[in-house]
Amino acid sequence: MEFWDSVCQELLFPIFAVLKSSQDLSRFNTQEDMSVWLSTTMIQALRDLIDLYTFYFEILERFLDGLLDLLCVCICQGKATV
Amino acid sequence: MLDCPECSLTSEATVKDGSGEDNMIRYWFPVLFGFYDIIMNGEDLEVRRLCVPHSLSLQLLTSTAFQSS
Repeated sequence: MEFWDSVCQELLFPIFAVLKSSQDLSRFNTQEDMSVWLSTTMIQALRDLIDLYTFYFEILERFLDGLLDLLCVCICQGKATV
Repeated sequence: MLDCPECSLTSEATVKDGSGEDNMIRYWFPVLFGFYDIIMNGEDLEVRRLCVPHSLSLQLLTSTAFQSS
């Protein structure tokens, strides 16, 4: 389970950290770049992450709270796309 | 490449050396990190678009191997 701990904490959930922390915005050169990344790459990653949980719920069940927190943050975003 | 025992994607490989999870971290985590780096920092939209499903597909593949072990 250490592998999945590492994957979830260091790779999966950090993709969406920009939704929680304005510090992550510094990696974007412009507001437009951020908007494009959010509406394309991040949305696709979110859909695929949910699929990953769907197909491998037995393995990822222990990380369900992380996914639910992420979905709450997405719902509370002002952007309709997210 | 995926059939070689070092990849730890077969149950035989994980039983043989007993360090299946170490190999998962040692060999597959860097690959997944590479995908992550492209998703987060890649400048080309098309490259990022192609990278996301491949990253998650690879995680599904490693999940299957992890389950079988």
